[in-house]
Amino acid sequence: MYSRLKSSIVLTGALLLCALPPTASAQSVAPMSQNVVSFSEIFIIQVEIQNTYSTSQRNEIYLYDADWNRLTPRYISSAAPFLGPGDKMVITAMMTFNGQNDRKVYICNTITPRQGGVGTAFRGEVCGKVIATRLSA
Amino acid sequence: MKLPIRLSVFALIPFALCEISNATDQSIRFNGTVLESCALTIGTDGTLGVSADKTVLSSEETGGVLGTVTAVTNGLGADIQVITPSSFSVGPTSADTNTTFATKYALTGSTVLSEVIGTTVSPLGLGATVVSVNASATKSTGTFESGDYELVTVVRCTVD
Repeated sequence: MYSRLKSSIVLTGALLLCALPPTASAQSVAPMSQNVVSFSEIFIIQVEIQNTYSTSQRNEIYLYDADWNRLTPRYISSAAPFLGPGDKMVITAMMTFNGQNDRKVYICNTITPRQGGVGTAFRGEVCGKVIATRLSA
Repeated sequence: MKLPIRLSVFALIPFALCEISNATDQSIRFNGTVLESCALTIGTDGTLGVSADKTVLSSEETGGVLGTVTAVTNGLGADIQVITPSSFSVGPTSADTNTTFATKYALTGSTVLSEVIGTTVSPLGLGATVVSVNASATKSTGTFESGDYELVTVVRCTVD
């Protein structure tokens, strides 16, 4: 009886471990670096963002090229989501290769917790790097 | 006749032990991945002090206070930099005229770095680093007129 109970506890623990997400608990963008491949002119970027603050915040998602020029995605699932404290969201963006075979882009989660006051306000910007490679069909 | 039987029984013991040993060596593997991350938390906003001749608004002038941001990393690939603003987000209409902006930052905690100019890209150590940021606006001609002013400075964490 005892060994059966022990076995079920171990099994439940193992299942719980498998069910846990593989990411850390406090992050703004994950993964910070990824490689994607595509057979077409378009590639897909997917990241998980998080509001790490204890209050609700508007998160703004920006994409930049390798020289930090702002890019406009062909599609983005949510460009300015409002997330509660600690909440996470998966963002999907669609970009073009712009005629190149390889493209390096940054996808950034930006939060400006306090603005409209007097003095200097700060905008936190956490940027994940994406290396996209176009494969010949 | 009894002796050969005993011998054959003893001969089987190592095989039996081997079977028991194999049964206890079975293992279950659990695999997991922790993705590299960087979390930024704005600690305190800064305050701009004004110079006596009213040509400089800076967190390093009298009455000015620097701002702090905490960066937490779980790997060694993250970098930090401060993007200097190109204009005031709040201010009178003449605020940006003949005005140049500058930022500087220093790192303490997991990463220690003496003050460098904002655009410098600095690698972050593992763990929590406090980024202390100074910002300034300087008029090359004229003075800052009365009113409220605000600069928004971007603190960027990324990987190279």
